[in-house]
Amino acid sequence: MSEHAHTSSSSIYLIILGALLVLTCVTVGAAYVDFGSFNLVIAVLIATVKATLVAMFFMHLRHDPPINAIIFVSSLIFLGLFLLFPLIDIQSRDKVVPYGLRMQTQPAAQKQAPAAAGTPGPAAAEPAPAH
Amino acid sequence: MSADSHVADHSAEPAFRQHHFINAEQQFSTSKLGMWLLLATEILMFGGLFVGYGLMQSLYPEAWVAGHHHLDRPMGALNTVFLLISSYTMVMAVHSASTNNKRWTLLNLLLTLGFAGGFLVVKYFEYSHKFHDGLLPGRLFAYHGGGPPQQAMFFGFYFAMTGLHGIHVLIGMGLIAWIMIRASRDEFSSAYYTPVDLVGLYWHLVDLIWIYLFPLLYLVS
Repeated sequence: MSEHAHTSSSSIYLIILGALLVLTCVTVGAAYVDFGSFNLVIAVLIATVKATLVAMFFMHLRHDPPINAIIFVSSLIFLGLFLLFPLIDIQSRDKVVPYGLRMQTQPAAQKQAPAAAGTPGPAAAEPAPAH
Repeated sequence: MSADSHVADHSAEPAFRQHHFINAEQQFSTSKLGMWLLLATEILMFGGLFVGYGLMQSLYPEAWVAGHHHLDRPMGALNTVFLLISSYTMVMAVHSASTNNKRWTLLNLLLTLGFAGGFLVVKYFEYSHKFHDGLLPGRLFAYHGGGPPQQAMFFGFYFAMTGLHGIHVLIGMGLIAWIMIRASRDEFSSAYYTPVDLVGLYWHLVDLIWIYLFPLLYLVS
């Protein structure tokens, strides 16, 4: 409820909205240019800039007590850990067969895979059929 | 009440202040802290889907590229614009509530509700198009136009992520309607507008998640 947060800030919101819309155009435009495997990296970087603008200005983290930002950022750090370790795990083992591939090659096996239906993940351990 | 006389910065007797808070300021920041904790759990809930997406995308990038060609980029971009503008109208509603402007609070909340509705209408057209083409998740996948079989998994992530996000949009619309009713009953003022602020935070998180969903689902190339 700090005073300066609410007196002069209504025009900055419009500037932030403009920046967010411009960045949306940039990210759509970048998707039509081929940067190879960097396309996804660029898209995520632009999204992160946009998310930072939303969090700092629309969500008032700029004026809030730092504890709110600490909670927010630490949830993102833990999300990063959550992504990192499974990624290391899955990239350092043999190729797994996803549920979708088994489904296409063995349509009769649908009934025996109810558990895999909910979680389309690396549940299968059988060797990959020739495709 | 004289024991609380150190509450000198706000109106003489804040009726909304609950007895276990020192002052209105502390009550406000406590509510906000609680909201941020909720938002952290929301991030971790969506996080599971994002991690699954990241793992499977790293294993089958070609299926992801093939799958995303079935998504409608202009529709996705339009929805991004809808949510960004709705975030702006939401923050203006919070601003108006904090400056005792009831008319603008209600108008901005109504606009937010309208853009949220527009988002869901666009989503409805996108979903029905996918259903029609058989682009469904997992074993429901019935598309016969070729492409890598792991596309079924891409659409699993597409529907799980946009579906969970869509549920959040619906909940957000309910919350905004609730705030509008309370605002029309003159329950908010510059001294007390915590519910507007917290619903605003929730709505911005919904926007924030879509900011990531849009490039990850529609713009993989």
